[in-house]
Amino acid sequence: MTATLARIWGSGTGRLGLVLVVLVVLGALLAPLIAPHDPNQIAVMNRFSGPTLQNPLGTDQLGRDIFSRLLYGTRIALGVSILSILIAFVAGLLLGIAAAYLPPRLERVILIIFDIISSFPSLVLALAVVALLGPGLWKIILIVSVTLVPHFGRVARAQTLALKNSPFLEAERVLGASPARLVLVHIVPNVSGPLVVLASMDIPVVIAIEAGLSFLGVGVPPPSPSWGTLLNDGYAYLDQSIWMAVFAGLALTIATLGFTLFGEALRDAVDPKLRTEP
Amino acid sequence: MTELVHVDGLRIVFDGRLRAVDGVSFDLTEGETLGLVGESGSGKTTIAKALLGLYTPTEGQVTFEGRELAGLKRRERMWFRRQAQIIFQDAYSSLSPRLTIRSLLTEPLRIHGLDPRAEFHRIEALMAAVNLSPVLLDKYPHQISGGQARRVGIARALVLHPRLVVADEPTAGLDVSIQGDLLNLLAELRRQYGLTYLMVSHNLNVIRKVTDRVAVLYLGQIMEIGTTRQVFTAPRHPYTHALLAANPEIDPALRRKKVVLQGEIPSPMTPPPGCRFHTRCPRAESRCRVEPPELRALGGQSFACHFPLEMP
Repeated sequence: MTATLARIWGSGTGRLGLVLVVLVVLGALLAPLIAPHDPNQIAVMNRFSGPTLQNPLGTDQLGRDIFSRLLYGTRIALGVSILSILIAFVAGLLLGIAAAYLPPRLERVILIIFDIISSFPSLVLALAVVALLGPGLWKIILIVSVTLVPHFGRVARAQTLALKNSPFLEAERVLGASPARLVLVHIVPNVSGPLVVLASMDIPVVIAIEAGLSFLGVGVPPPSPSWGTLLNDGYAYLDQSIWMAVFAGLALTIATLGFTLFGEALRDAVDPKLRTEP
Repeated sequence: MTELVHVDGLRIVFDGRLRAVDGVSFDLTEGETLGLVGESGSGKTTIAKALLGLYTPTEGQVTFEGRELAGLKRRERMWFRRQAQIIFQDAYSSLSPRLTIRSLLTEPLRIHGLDPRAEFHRIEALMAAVNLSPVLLDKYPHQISGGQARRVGIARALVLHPRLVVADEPTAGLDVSIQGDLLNLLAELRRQYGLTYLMVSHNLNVIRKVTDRVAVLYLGQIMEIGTTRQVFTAPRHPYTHALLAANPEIDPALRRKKVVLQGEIPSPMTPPPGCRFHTRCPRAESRCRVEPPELRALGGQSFACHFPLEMP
């Protein structure tokens, strides 16, 4: 764990990624402490203000403090991505291992389900679901996690197939280990490694999807300060004030860039082939 | 001496057409070491794993102390798991990579519902017996050397105090000097724990040094089986003879005339009719191409050949 972090810190882009990720995560955790204003506090007299001492990043069309809204927006962005990736991780892991062990016919069924899910563009799927059921935070999380399941499931299946006939599992069978023990104690930990890397690389993707859905008005419903909603407001009032669009875009850029760099560095750090020390 | 394992007409067919083992019968007496020799693809590892119940026989049966492996109930199967263990050819890949040596060695205890703390003396005794330092307990498999990994594999196989140990190519990939140490260790453990070994190897020198009896395999069938001394000094089957002649011998007085076998071992998908070996046998005649020879006992050893070599 510490060795992995040290390796990430050791690569230049990894260090930048790690710093940005820590900033974003701290922003999400400490939002109530850092934010100078209530994110939903309206001050109509002070709308479209540029950056001032009182409002570091200016105010929006209702006079709400953009900095505070962006900080609380971090919670939505991270919350949606972590929860949906967690759900997709567990579901994909279980389905992937099951696919590798089930008889070919059932394996085919699982793979076809994966194919069907991945053949839908997640944005179109989300629009359809929202049109049917109306918008909502949990619906977004559900849609995103469903679309990510095949991603994890396919890797889990491939990893399990590679492990399935390895001598160490055979040794455990000779010792009398039950199938449940083989899966939980020996397969899950060995399959999870690559999935963790995958998960970290998926965080920026999900942040962008959530922002995109909110931008289109089918994501997290207002007044929740999702970055996509803020970007949309900024776009609508671009002729009054450019600050909303600029800072919302900047927040999105910092978060996605940070997690992308971090994910890539993590991938390199856990790849034993790239490791120099024994 | 009692009969521990009885293999009767064992036939293992993969995917309905690959005849890995094709009608093999032999016994294993408690306390003895039986060697299985043969080229790659002769079925020796498949037989060894069938003895551990890892493969279900297509035909025939394997019995351990009179109990047929294929018909074991759950409770009997757990009992059998404590009786028979394996030492793997590739030591590293037989150790679960994310477990420490301590977890690897206590794993058999936990699987069988024994308290790892209360039974830790077993592991300490085994670590001492295989000459592993307790310092290694908290290391991971990739942090130890090849020789150490092999000894961890041996120790793990013995934690449950089995009676039968299958050693699959125990010396493969080791330096000659370490090979000697390892064979001495296996002999010492055999004495100390009263083990019965089934040793699979294509290294004839190893087989000659450590086994009491040896079975020579070719394309999933036994060509010749007998005491190691008989088979090595007076082989009756032409294949055994060719195999021994191809073995490098330092002492010029013991060197045999080279017998060069033509061609490759045929595919087990389409084994030749008659005697399996006739396509490469220097003594083959028309009868061999049609009639498969039965394994017949003569003077303590058995061989499957129509035209055996003379007794010297």
